[in-house]
Amino acid sequence: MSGPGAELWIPLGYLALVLTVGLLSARKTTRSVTGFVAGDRAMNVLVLYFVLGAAIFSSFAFLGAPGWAYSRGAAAYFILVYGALGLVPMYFLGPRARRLGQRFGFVTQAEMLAHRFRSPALSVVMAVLSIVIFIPYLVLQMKGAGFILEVVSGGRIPIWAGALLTYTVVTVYVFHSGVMGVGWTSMLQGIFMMILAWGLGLYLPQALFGGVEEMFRALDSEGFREALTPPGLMGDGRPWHWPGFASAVLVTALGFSCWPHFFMKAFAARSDRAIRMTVVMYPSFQIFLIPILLIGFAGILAYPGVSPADTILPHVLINASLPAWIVGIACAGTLAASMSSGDAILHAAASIGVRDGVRPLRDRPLSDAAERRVIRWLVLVMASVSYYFAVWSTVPLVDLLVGAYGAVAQIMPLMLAALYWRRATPAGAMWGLLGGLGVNTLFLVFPELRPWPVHEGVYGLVANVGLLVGLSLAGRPMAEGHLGEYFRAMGSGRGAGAPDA
Amino acid sequence: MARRHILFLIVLGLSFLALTWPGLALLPPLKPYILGLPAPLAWILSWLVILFLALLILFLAEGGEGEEGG
Repeated sequence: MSGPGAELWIPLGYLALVLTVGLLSARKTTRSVTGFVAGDRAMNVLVLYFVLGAAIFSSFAFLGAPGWAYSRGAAAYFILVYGALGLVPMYFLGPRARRLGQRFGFVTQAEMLAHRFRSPALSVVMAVLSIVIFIPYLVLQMKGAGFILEVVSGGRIPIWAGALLTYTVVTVYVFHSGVMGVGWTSMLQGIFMMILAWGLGLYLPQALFGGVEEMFRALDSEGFREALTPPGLMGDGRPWHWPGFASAVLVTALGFSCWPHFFMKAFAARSDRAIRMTVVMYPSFQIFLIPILLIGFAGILAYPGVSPADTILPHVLINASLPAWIVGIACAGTLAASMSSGDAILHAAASIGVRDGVRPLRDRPLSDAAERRVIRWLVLVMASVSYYFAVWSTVPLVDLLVGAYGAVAQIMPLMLAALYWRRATPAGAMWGLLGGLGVNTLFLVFPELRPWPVHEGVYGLVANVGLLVGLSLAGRPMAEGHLGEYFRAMGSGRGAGAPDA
Repeated sequence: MARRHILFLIVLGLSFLALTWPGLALLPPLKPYILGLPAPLAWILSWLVILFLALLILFLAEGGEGEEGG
């Protein structure tokens, strides 16, 4: 076998480029916690657009999504549909949160909720929830990176080494530059991913079938009509059903903007306008899932029997006799997807761990410099723990992420109550969240107990909203002085409309 | 709630129905092909555009308001 060619030099060069950009991006922010966690609240539309876009497009988009198209047919449309709806809540919630952050100094979602409900315990619950869902998410990204490098290197770079290399780069720039490292690298990674998705997604059907329509016609005549009929197939190959599809869309779309690493970027935005414009422009990011799905569909007839299904993209890369430089770019693009989500998660996990988990439990507040130092070291700890799981655990890629959405969606009622409903009380908020998480977990672990075949998150949401509204109405309202200050701060942006009563 | 917000929520609700059930369920699984894409995929794509336009109209109706607020 000859030495490594372009298929390996391109991703390695790309890693070096990302590292350089990541390290350079710290120059403009202050050396404060707000600088490290929220970029001094100065992110403009361009950076915000790429941060939010790239954070969503993770290893799941490049490995999981084509895997769904490959093994579950039209069920993969689910990924397009929830994404289309998922960022919309941010248009309304984001600017309100941003103004509160500016007035009270919040940099995380839990800080905002804990302040609104005067409940440090709520912040600790949110911190624990965040870490519990972040670790598997990060592990997934590391595995994705290690896996793609192993495949294109023909095994010369084993998974452990590929994940180590990629995530050393990520850890170094997150440690050094904080959120701005995430921001500027996301721009680079986002552009790279778009080029890859469109290039490969349109090239493969053309090369293998002579066109996209021809590919679908071939699938139709080869007996794949059932798989291609929405809502497609379930993971086990049986036909999916509409209650399952629609409820999964609902829960996932509600959870989308609630992801703590995602929502906290509202505090990094420079203006309300920056947040709103980002949401408006977001579908331009979403559309690039279409060519990615085409890659998966192209694999059905060309490469039958690939297992597990989420290895179809690398399988196609290796077997489609593509030029080495295309394989190299595709590999770098997949790394971009992994890193641009992994860095946001890693950064958020450390920030949230310290701000929301440790701080409320201390009698004496940390100094700003000490807090920044602790957050940075927690970046290293989180990266190491996740790396340990990535190399040693054997949990399948997609299931973890799909399971997390039911839990994340339970934050949505809490945010709506915090930002729109003055009558909501601390007891309602806390028990709503805990009840929702409990019920969601129950039906996730014991799916046979579900009375109807809908997503476990729906049951969690029903319990959540019931407890939130019931306990709030049954209890005493919170002090008017506190609420007044809070809702005034939220409405202080011109054009926000009157604060809701 | 402002009238434009109510209108937007109606569009959002409709798009949920259009993109899950009954909208997606009523479409033929493949033919007709539009831009080479099967009908459901083209349908989803067009709703992405509709949602984009709805958000854009809402954004423009609110003008630059709220900028640098607080």
